[in-house]
Amino acid sequence: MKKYVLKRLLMAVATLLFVLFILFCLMELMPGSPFNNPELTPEQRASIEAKYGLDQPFWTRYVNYIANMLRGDFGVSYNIQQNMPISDLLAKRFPVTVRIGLQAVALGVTLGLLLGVVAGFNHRRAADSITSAVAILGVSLPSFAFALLLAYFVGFQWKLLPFLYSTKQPFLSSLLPSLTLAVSPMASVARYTRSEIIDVLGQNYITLARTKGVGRAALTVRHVLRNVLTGVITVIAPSIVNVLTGSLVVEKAFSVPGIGGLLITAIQENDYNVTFTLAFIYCALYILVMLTVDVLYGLIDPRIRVAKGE
Amino acid sequence: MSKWKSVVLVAAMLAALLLSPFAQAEGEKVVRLTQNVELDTLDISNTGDGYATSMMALLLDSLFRLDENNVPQPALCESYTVSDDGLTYTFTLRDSKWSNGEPVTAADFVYSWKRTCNPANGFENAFLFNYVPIKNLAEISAGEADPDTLGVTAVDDKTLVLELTTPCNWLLEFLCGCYFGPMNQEFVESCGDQYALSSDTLLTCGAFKLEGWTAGDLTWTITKNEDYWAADTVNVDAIEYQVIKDTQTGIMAYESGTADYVILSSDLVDMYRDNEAFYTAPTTYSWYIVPNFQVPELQNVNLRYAIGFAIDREALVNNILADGSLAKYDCNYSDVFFGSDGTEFNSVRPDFWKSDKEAAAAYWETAKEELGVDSLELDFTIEDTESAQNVAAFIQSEIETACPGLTINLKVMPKAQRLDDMENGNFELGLHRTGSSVPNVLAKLGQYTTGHNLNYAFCSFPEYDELYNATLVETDPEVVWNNCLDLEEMAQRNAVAIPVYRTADCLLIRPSLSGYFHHLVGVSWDFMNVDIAE
Amino acid sequence: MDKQELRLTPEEARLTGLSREEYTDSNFAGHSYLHEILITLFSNRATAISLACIAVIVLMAIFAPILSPYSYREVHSEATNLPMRIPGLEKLGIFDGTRAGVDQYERHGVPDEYHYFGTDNLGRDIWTRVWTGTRISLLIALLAVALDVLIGVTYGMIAGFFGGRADLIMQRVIEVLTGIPNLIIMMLLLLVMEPGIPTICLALAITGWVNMSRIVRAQVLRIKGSEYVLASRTLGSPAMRIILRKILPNTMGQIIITFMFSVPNAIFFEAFLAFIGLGVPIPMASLGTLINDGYKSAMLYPYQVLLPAAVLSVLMLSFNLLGDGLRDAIDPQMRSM
Repeated sequence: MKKYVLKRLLMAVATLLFVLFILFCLMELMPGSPFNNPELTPEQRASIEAKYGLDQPFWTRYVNYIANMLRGDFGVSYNIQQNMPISDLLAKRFPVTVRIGLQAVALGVTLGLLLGVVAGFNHRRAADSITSAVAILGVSLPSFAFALLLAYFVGFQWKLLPFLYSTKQPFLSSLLPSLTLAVSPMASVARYTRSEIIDVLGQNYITLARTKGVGRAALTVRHVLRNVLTGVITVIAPSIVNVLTGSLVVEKAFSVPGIGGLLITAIQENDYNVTFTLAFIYCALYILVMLTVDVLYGLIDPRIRVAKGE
Repeated sequence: MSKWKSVVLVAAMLAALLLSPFAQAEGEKVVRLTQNVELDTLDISNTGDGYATSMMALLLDSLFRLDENNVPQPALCESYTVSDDGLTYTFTLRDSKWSNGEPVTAADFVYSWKRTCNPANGFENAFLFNYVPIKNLAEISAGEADPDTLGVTAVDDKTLVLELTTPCNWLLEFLCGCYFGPMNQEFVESCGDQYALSSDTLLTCGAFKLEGWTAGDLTWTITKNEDYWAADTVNVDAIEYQVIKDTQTGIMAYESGTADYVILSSDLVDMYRDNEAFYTAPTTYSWYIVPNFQVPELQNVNLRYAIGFAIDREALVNNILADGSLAKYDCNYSDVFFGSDGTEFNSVRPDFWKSDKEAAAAYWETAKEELGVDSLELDFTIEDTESAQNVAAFIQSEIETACPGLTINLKVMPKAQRLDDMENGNFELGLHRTGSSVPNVLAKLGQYTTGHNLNYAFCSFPEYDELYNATLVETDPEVVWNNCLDLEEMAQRNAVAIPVYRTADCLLIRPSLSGYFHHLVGVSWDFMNVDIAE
Repeated sequence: MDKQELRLTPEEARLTGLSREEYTDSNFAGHSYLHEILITLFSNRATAISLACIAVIVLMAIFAPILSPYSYREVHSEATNLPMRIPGLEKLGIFDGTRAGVDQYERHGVPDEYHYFGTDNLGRDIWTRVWTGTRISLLIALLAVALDVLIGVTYGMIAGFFGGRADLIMQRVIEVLTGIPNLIIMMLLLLVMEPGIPTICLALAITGWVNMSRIVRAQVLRIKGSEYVLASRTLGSPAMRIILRKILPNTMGQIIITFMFSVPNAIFFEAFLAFIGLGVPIPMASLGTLINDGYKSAMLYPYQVLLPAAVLSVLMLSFNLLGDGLRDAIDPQMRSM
């Protein structure tokens, strides 16, 4: 197991370096400059760029960036928050996004399991079709549609929850964004749970338990859910990533001071350092999540562990 | 029974939790403003954002302040004298303090101006100084002189002397902008690169104070500065700012009472057009179609006329934008330039451009003959913002229906890339926006001369250049005025830029607010004397 | 269960003399694999409805823009934001072109026009735009997924069949590629290349083929060990022949299922790209850009966002249900999607 984890970590580092390299190349190809006030003369722009070391050759900048990164210096932002160190820029925003993301996943998994259980146990009956349709709708409708719906009805008309994120009520105002983001993981978890339950319910050992007289509730918890939960972990992994990307939309709609919309703005404004750092963070998170899921899965399901020797 | 009691208790606690933040300190007057971008920096040498400058005007006093009639009123400058030849100004400052207790001195102004215009610092607002003929400024900008030789000196703590090379009758208006405010040298230098990135690294001396802000925050508050010399004219205790990026969220905030000032997009104008809170104010930002003269077909003037005449500008601003935008038919700014007798430049300027589809079709036929083609395809480079895309779709449709055979291909890209492409001549037709940081009609007309760095059309008309250069050295204001009218007429006739429309700000402002005003140039929104009726 | 006793006399127990053929189950024997799948498919009501929905939408997407008198891109500034007006239904008092009691069509000077879905903020007919948009969304999705399939199947086949070092290297490459979030790849691609349908298809395909290759590889590994393949190899068939004749046909099922599930993913991602501003360039429309445009005035004119969103949801729902049904019909054992 340890060797496996080590190997994966090494792969992760290689991947991250590769990613940064590709990013550097792509940013080279992108036209424009971070300093685009049209009234600047070309000479003034060149002098500003020189001040930030943007006139140095490609490899120098790449190596410098990696070296600085290892020291914890991610550079400064060029035009989003000019001269602000990126670590400061992200320090305040990152926890907000992470918190809303985690809440979303937690909500999504819980609701998804509930829906999936209801659907699975009522296979081929009305409850199944309805809950399945709800789940699939959750995947079909774009998140900004949900954002607007929730903000308008729950926040504005019925005044149940605040629809603007506010640092004065961090928990309450994070609920609507989390709910919006939770729809997608909820849908995938629900669908997966449903099919797994249908599968498991058809198995012999369940029939055996029923004939032995085990009650419905005990049946669910002890036999069915345990088998299902292991698989749910694999479904959660891509959901976490979706939550990261979905946060773009949600943060714009609810005015959340997170890192969601920052990446797009950074790419469009040619703010190189912010782009590299954010892309790096996203990749690192993604790889970490995948690795954790794989390890957890291996720990829980002994069959996988054996097969890992492959 | 106890189960119900605990339920009630929990419910009560929840209610208290939910409702408590909505309670406000009794008797406090707070105005809540919103904007749709964060503040990136409050360094006056670097900030170009309209919102940042509006807020800086509240935090930082300058020599003068534009009142609601656009007349400069003394602010930090208590009084001033001008020499007979109009080249030397002497400003006497009043007593004022920085937020750290130190007094504001003339030396602070000297330091601030030298810092901004120094090309070695690479500050974005350096270009603004190009419009004020301060002694030695041209040499400093070109890197030929030491910034210390700038023609501004602090004779003593309260006296500032400014030396010009030519008389400048817009000087006082220009000095109203916060870009020419003071900076405490010791403090600024001690902050280094971090200056103005948070409220801890910023000194203020204006009507309000700032605490607890870091660049990029989405909410912050400024509170009344009781030590301000005109504190009795400040009617509110605090102003809260909130960044709301989505217009509809902004409207919901307004309707639910959590915001008093929100931006309205042209899509939603219909909801509020007849509402008391609806406010529309034209800006100086104007959109033009810029033809790239390096494209052979576009050198044909009839083709350019065809494009320009085909667009029904009234339909655009009345039906599609409907947010107070105005149709534009000239190559200059409106409501900004005034003659010595008070006439506004655009009220007497020559009228060449019209919206006339039949004339457009005729010009197109002529162009086809002259170019020897039956059809033509042109690329139209635009930004990816929503308004630009709507306008471009409209323009494309208008041109294609009025001039059959002429096809317009839209090329959408982020703003930075569009500016880059246009600067490098890498486009055919471009949709370009210009704003007026320039207080001088001649300076704007200069942008159409050969080789000017803002001449994105890459056009060259020797006659035009000649007249322009002659006017630059002309001293008789009558002659200058008439020459400018001639230049404007030439610019229109040569179709160096095809005007489309002039944007307007469209807002919802709570009717209980008063005492604020809007300027076309400089600080766009002045909230210093805002008051809120109970 | 019948409790009656069965009593047979020795005379009643006789050889009937029926031949083997007559006892063969006629239902099962005569039908091919395809026929079986189709029967299972259509017996599932949800799947049948989904297929019908998809068919209807595709037909509308093809024919509605052609039959409509309005263009999807011509701007009519006098007829902006008109409500829905459907002939026939308007006599019932709904969809009659009025808003707050005022006939908007009269007011804007176009009393004789009928816009089934109303018009947008530039006066363009939404009915035409929605179906044109569906066309383009479907086109993009199908092209992207087709590319997906091409690359993924080839990659998975090679990795699975040849195994050994080639497989190892190819798997490592995939691991590296999956470490990069799709969003970043897509955004950078779209900003570096010119935005347009080919670029979007490419961006979607580049991020989607990995899933297909994984499934194909897993399938190939399973089949590779089966006896008929072993037999072919012993007999000396060349690799290509084995792949094409034996393995590919048996993988087809999985490929089709993954195809069916990838299409809604592609449609959804395209809508997402449109929302962040990287969708098809104007004045072309896709469901994503239509939803994005309509969203901006959703509080005022909800029909502008609801109509394309409804089409999008129905499409995605249908493809997902169809995929579910196909999976039940083709491979009831495969659950790990």
